[in-house]
Amino acid sequence: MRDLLRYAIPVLLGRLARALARRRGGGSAIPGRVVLALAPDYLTHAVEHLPLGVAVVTGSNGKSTTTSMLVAVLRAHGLRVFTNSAGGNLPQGVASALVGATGLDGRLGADIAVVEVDEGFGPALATTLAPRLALLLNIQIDQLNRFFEPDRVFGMLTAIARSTSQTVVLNNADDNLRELAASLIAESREVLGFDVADSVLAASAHGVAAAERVRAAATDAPNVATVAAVTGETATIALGTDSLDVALPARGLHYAVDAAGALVAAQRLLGGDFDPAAAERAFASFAPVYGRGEVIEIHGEPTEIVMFKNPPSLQLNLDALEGAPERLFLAVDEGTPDPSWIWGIDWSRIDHVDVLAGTKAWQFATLFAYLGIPIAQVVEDLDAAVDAFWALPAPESPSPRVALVNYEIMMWLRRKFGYLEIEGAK
Amino acid sequence: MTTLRILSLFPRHLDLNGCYGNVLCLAGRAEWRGIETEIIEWIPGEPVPSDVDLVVCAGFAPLSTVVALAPVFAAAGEGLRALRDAGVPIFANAAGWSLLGERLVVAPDGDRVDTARVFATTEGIGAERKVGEYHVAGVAGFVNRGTVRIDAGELLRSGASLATDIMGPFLPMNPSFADEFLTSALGRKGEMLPAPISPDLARADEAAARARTAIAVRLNRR
Repeated sequence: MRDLLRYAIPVLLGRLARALARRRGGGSAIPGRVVLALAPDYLTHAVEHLPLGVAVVTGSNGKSTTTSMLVAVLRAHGLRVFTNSAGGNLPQGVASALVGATGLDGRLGADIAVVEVDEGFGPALATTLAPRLALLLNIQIDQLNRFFEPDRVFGMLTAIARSTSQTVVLNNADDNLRELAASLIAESREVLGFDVADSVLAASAHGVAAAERVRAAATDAPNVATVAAVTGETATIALGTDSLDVALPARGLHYAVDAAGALVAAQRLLGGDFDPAAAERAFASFAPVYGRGEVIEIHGEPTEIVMFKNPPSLQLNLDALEGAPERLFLAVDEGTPDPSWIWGIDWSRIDHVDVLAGTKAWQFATLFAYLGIPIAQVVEDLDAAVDAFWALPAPESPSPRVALVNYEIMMWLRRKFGYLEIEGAK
Repeated sequence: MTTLRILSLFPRHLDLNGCYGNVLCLAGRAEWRGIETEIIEWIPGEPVPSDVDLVVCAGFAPLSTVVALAPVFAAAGEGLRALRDAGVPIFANAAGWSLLGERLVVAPDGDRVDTARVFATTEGIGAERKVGEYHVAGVAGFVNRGTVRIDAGELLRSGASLATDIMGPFLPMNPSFADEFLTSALGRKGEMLPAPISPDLARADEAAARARTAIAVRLNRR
């Protein structure tokens, strides 16, 4: 009864704000802001009684995809799983997602919560959510305008790891996280690792793209899962004594690494109940996360959306392309405040751009002039650019048009072409 | 045919932000003018070669990396200063400038780290970080730094050399500086900068001019 008195009104007002936000299309932090303003301890209260606790997923790249994979595997085992919408990984975003899922007593009706957290807000969120398990994916070059340098991200992930009560699962193929493993093991914490077989790493153009830092001593976390092979959109992952064939959401080694991390976390959370066959089924029916290999209809034409946020995600997505796209739209706006890093990318996978768009288009045009990559049209205005690109004849090959865009333009394209649901809300 | 030797003081650890674009720019513009180039990658700890025509020290790196690399650059200082004094143009930006300055004052208690002493500047930890697009007098780019220098602004000319806080691909974004470097380097050989033989140069410069204009327009709007 006391819970009802305290949380019913904040939750109801939050739900109202959420209903309004959904009608507009796109994600919103407003419902979360509303409920947190009225009930500041809402996040802790919502999850503290969950029977299997909270798992958090963080890192520079792959958070949304890996969170969805872990959720799918746990659900395939019959668990009721709460998760935040992909992209809503700041405290107010997590609260926004919770508002639709908690009762009027402010408590979450679920067995477990799997929460994607932003690196920057991760330390505070980890303190609030008191996770049992943290899954750390990588430390790569990301948002230098915001994080300034990878050392700060290393400190943030260290803080998240130290707020975790039971297990830290981390990527042994990322030398930065191996450094973290060394210090966590020295503190007698439970650390489990996942890795990529040397033969698989050798076959990929740019490995796993870990950020270069001057590092202290590093060591492997006790390794539980290894990506043993990647063929097209299927990965073979050795997990303990089992070998799983896992369907990936799209081509790319980075998705296989995400899957290995999700499997180690799922196995640790489920203990003896973990069933490899159920895990394989979960991956087979897994829907791609927005903008990660997803094909949507734009002006009635199937278009593969390839989204990037930072150098590693762009490089790994370019590496995963099957040949140069025949019809390529490339657009970047102020969501990428400083695209200087495009000069450090290996662009050999593309041979031309049909329409180059967005406020940063001319910075790309400068680079492509030096690289000798032809550009048919530069159109800074996005609406005009979209009209120009989708007026071009369809590709002659069976592969669809490709839109290589940053996160903000991906969301803008979705809204413009009628994909109105909040990301991750199914 | 003339060949220009470009020394890239550019360990892997400094390449966080497309800084290699500066080397690409010099090599590309030389080629567009019919001049061959050879890029020499310096391995930190090895002697600095003396038979080079241009030096690029462009980079962005965590302060911990800059501090870790400082002794290597301090040791290379003598060779680099000899190049500078011989009129070889040296370009440095962001962390590259930090490593080619006099010293870094890195800790709150004033701990000092010596650097290469190519540019007469001293750098200390700033009270707050400056992050954002930059456009002054037609020069444009992006600045992201947490250090302060009392003895220089964002751009420092010293003889044929230039250092700037504008990070990443400064030369391709502001190609007149690249042509100045090429002119100086050729001048030491008694040669003039030849006219372009490829239309790509004009195409690159038009794109860069429009990119700078876009930055200026955004800054004016704020």
